[in-house]
Amino acid sequence: MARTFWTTVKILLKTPSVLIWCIAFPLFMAVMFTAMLSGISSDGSVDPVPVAVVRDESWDGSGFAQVVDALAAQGDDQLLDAADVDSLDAGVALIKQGDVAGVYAVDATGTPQVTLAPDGYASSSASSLSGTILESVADGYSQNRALFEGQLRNNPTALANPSAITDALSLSVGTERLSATRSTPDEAVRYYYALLAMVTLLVGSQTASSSVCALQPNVSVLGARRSVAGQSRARQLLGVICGCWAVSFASSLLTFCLVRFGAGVDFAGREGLCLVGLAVATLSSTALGALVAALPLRGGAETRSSMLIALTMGLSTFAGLYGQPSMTLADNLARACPAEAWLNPPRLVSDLFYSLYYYDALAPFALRVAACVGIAALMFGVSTVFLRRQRYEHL
Amino acid sequence: MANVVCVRNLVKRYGDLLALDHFDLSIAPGEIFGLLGPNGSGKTTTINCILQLLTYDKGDIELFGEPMTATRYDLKRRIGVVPQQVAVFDELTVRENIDYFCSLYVDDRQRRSRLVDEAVEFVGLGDFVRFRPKKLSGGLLRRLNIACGIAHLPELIFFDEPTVAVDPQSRASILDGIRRLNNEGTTVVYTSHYMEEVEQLCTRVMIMDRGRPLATGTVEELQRSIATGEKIRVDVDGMGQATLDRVRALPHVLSATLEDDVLSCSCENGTSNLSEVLAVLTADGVGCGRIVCEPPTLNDIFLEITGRELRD
Ligand SMILES: Nc1ncnc2c1ncn2[C@@H]1O[C@H](COP(=O)(O)OP(=O)(O)O)[C@@H](O)[C@H]1O
Ligand SMILES: [Mg+2]
Repeated sequence: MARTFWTTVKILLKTPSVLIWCIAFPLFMAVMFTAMLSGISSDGSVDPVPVAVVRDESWDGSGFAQVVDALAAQGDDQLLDAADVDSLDAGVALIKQGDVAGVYAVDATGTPQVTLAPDGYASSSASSLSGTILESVADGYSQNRALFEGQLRNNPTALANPSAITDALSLSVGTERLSATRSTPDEAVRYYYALLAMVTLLVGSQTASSSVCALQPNVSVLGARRSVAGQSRARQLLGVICGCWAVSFASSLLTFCLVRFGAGVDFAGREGLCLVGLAVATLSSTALGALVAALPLRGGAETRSSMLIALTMGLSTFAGLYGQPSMTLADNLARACPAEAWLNPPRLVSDLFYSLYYYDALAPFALRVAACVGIAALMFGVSTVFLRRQRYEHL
Repeated sequence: MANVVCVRNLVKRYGDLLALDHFDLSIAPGEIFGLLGPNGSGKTTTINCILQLLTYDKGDIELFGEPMTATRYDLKRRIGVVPQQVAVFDELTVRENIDYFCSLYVDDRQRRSRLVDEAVEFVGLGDFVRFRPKKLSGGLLRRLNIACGIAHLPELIFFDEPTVAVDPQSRASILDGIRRLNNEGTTVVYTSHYMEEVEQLCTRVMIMDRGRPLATGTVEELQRSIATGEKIRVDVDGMGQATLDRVRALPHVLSATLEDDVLSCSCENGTSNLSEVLAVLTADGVGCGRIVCEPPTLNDIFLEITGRELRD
């Protein structure tokens, strides 16, 4: 089995198509992304989140109003773009027109109320992020209301500076990322994560499909030869899968290093966990490759490899890989069909990195890791059922 | 000792095509057993069924006296297979290929290393161990294909047409290698549609056609089993139809043809076939050149049973 592992690695590293898809292509994409996105990154600012504020008596004079005003002040670090409305209904109407991402109001007790764009009404691709920013500001304020109000009473100018406010807000969970978001624009990060997701899927599935094809008697003469050998198919399969996984992991690690150190993309200081993410992501894409290779289809290794390339590129659309329209499509699809985010591997994997970047808590990340492992187990299971039955017959 | 290979009543269909029709086969230890038949007669199908690469519709297959199934890896470990199509990894060198296939049978690294060396030597690829298969000529590639199947020193080896598209030198070396393996106690199953090879190499032969065994035995037994006992060829000069008719009328002559001034006769077993034929020629004043007398070949046997040439 160890021999099968090493042989698989050796063969993969000497297969031209694998070298192209697993090393040259990711390198090319990473460099291209860096070139294309460096404009956005160096510019250093996010678009402020458009929000409607219900300017009634409760609003005027509340501490929250001052915080929002400070965050909406024109400048490089402007976080909010506030538009005044008379009532909540008017704000909701703006949401429906797609002009704002949410509505702020303050109730009689001075507590901020957030109304977010319901799924399906967002205008911008980053709307889920926008919503989260709006919520974070409001939550942060609520949780530290006493502190804010005290400060505003004692020293009204103390919070005139938005960064002071974000600092103050950053006491709360979930808002810490907010400051990170403000230093590195989320748009670019999302593209890089989508790229990583695409690369892991591509390398895992390509290596696994070519190697598993060379294991099957009805797809290749090599498979026939290995089937009559003295080592069980299960053990050979295990060696092959481990070899494919190792190569895919190494290849996506290479891309990760390029993205992290070459393009300087922010992974929120959680590079170690990112490796875990890469490991499970390549595991699930290896499983996908094995599954497609094991399907009782006509056609040989090339057919399956092309199918997987098409599948990878197609699914990556819904992870928002191909620019703004693709990102919008991805968001719309995610809203229309929330399950997609869990079932579409590139989407799941890019969300996996995003959840590391975005949330302080590790639960969302852990959940996606579990989803990757689950998908991998399922697909390996199904492929084993197919592989077990296979004979030379259908050649 | 029990038969190494025992196949009973094997039926294999590919859709409507009956590839093996109630096929029986038994091979004793130490034999070089030849499966001879034209292309498409079912030789490869037989081997693949025995190896459980193919499912079959009916029949029992035993190897080493035990029922063979797809998961009898213990039995598979004792078998070597040299497939008809060359099956090696293009990305690996000659040595790496042999080592990999050997590793599917032999776990111990040191022992394997020795076995690989022996196999390299055995097929004469010593100068090419670092070559990739793409760089090898057809004959050398076939030798690599063989080395990958035999490195683990199996007790039973299946060779499926190992000499197709091979230069005469490689062919001789392959046949010689098979004899040496056999001398060391390996049982060999050898398929081919070249009757000369089978005649030279095999201790016992089965002639098959259209999925059915036609005759089984040693070459001599097969020769004795047919009516033709002797073949006579004479280079003649100016022989006419009348003389040919008189030759055909001879009591022991089964058939006679005249083509390009060569007279070919098939005769029954007899002590004076040649002198009778020559007497007719001399009496008619036909000049004779080279004269060849030989026992019937496997091709004649095939011809007599099926009415067709082996290499149609
Ligand atoms: N996979 C297959 N599907 C359908 N027919 C096949 C298949 N393999 C072989 N055959 C047919 O079965 C017959 C026997 O083939 P084969 O065993 O390869 O013959 P041989 O090895 O003696 O040349 C041939 O007529 C061939 O066309
Ligand atoms: Mg054949």
